[in-house]
Amino acid sequence: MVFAALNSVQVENMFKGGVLIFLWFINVTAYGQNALPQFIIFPGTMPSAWSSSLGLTFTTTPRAITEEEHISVPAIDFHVLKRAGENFNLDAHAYIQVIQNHASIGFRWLHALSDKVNISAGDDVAGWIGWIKIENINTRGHGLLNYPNVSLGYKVDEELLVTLKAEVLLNFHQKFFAGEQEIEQNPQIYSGEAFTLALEQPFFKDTWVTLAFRAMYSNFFWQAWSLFENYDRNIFYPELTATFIL
Amino acid sequence: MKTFFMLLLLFACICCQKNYEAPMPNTRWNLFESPGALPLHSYSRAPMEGIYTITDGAETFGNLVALRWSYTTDGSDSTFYLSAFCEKDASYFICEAKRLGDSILLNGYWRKMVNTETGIARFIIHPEKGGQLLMNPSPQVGTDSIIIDGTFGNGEDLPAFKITFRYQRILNTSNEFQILAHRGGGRTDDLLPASENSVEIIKLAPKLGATGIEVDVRLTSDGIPILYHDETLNNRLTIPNGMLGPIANYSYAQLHDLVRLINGERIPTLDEALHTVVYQTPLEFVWLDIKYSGSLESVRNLQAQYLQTAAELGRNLKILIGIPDDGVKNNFTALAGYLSVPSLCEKFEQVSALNSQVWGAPWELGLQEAEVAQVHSEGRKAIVWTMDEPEFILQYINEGHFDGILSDRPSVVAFYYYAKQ
Amino acid sequence: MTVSCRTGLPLLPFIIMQNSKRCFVLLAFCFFFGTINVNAQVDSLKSGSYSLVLYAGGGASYYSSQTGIPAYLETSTQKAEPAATLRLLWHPDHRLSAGVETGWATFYSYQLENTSIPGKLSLTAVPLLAEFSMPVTKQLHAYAGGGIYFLTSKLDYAGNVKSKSRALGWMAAVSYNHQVSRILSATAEIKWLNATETENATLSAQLLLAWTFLEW
Repeated sequence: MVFAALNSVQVENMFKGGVLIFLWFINVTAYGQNALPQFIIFPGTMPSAWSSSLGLTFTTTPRAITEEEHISVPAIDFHVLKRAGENFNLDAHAYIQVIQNHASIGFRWLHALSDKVNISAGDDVAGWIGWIKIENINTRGHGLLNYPNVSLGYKVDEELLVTLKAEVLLNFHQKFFAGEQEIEQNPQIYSGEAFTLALEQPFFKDTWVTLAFRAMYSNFFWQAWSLFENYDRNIFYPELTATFIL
Repeated sequence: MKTFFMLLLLFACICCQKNYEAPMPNTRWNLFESPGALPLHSYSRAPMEGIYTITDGAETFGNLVALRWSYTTDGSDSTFYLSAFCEKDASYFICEAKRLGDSILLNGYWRKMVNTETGIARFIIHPEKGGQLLMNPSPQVGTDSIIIDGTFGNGEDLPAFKITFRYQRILNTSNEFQILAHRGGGRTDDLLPASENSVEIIKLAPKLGATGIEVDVRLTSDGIPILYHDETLNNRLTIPNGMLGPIANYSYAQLHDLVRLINGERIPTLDEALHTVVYQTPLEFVWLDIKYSGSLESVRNLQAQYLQTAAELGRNLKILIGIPDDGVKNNFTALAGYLSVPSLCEKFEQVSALNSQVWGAPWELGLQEAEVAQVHSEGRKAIVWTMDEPEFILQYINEGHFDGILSDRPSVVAFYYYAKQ
Repeated sequence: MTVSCRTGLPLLPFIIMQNSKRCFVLLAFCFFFGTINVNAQVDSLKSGSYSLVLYAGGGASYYSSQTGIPAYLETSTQKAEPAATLRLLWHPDHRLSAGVETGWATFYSYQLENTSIPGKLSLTAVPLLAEFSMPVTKQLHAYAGGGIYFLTSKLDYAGNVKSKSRALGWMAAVSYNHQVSRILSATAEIKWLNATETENATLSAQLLLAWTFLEW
């Protein structure tokens, strides 16, 4: 989601770029994969040392706060997992919209309750940064977030992994600049929660995909930073993610 | 497993949905409605205005409060409201007043603009705490000479929490500073009791501290100027009724008969809005933010008509055609004698050429002292828009030289302006 | 802030999209355990071949949103309206299929009553949605997708206005498939179309013909 400053050409270019990358990876991922379950969200022990995914995440926000500056642009979603032990994964995740971006690193402690049921607990530290021109005024912002999380995964069979993930959104720092002015709003540290339902399964040949729906209830959303919202209320932000596991 | 699944599904069906609302509480107070409660003497009002310290209730509303009267008029009847503007959380009180013996009763409600908190508020000025003093036609008011004891509650709850205001000093009114309310008084999103750009919000604006308003002007398909912000009919501003798309597609009759704003009001014509300003409020300044591309003839005619009416009524009222961009500028310069048409130009470099009375400066560019000094030297005014952050409002009032601030939260501007020492 | 409670199965997707975290958590659990439940019965559908399938059909829809028809106007409202679907799905060699869907649906229409001049309005939608599909059993398939609804509002009151708008939205559907021949199948489908941005949703029952026009 990008607001305000994007003109139609920028939006169109971003959309085209996203579609091209998406199509490219359909081709790329058609080769060279093995038959083992591939996943990026499922809280299981990884079959290989590294796993990564690339795709798009779509978000929208209520018009009540965006008003007419309401343009939905998907973010490029790049996610990397590194096996750091039998019960331990490292996680890096980036949302890229060029003019505003979000990156996180974190860890997952994993535990198998049975052959089919896995759980995990982890934490991600994230930073976001954005710069947009609104009505000829340069605005920019950055901030630090933290996402403690737990996941419950169920391996339906060798071709379907289902994960439920719950996160707490902690907003530790945010700073905005509008033109010559620095806007320092004291963030509400506990700013909301997010719940994700993810399905991971093979799509074609040995290429696996992740389809996820994330429901976020927060009084701060990094993609809405340029609104400088100063109202204390939690807003629902739905996120749809479709990624190919590389 | 199936039973578990069905139970979860059933539970999901009855789970709750959260809506953000800040409904105005029912303020009926039997004592206030009692036969012995009489209208306040007009001479009692002005001395009550001032900066007060909050002793009880400071943790909820802050340490200081600015009390200021406003009114709305309906025909020959005027209703006066005492508003209290607080520093903390953009909170305010709006009360009506009566006298009961030598006491003064204040009855109303409070609201915090940063969230949805609201509730009933009731106050008494006892005879020995200033009530008797204010019954005097020429009261001498000083520190602690008026002590307003009150209670406030949450939502519809009866007031139970103590709050006390103690008079400290007079309000700052050192310059002709305009407190302008955005979109007629405030955004629909701020959950005020009236919709943005409605007649009702214009009547509310003075109670929120505004001395002027900015409204958004568009044209219907049959050329009637109306107040509406967005380009399209949408659920943000109107109650859904199936009519969608550009508002300019629809005629006045269609909009008037079939469309209601989100709080149930009709979309007002500019004529209705200006009539309300002139005849029903003490507002001194109207910024007509032109949101359409087309002839400004009908807007100019209404502007001239109501400026003349206001002059005949002895009102000091400015009605300015806003010029936000080159498109509107071209339509403005197409007006015959445009140099004598009162206007507000948002582009500094065009202010002189258009002979605009006011420069509308974006707040993001800072105090812009040199530009402000230049427009002042040319006999023009400078208004900064649209500023909602309290720290900037405080900074611009204390350090800047603007002649007014446009804000979605006029009560915050009012507090910092009146409290300035 | 107030909390209001609403009850009823037809409101479920609406409730989810309207700010209810508890709803989402609970429904997610429901789907999670539901998936566990039904997938225990499903054999792997891996076929090793790819196909493109075109679905076309129509049926009736019922406007199911609580908003949309104004209470302040006296109207004679028609909520049951015709609906049509055109869908193209790529069925690869695993459970998941992907494609696009369009179609046509009238959300509602109404006649104005007790107005000085007669009037009527209709609101129609043409969705353009990216879509995924999965079999729940061999015959029962689930669909979900998101995209844009192209909305047309036709007003006949003191003049005619045809006005267009766009809204983000989503859909969900389940279908029961009956194989007619190697390349043709008939499907009965219950579908929820939701133009979220304008708070318009309709539940439809449709019959579709699925034609596997390309296999490789």
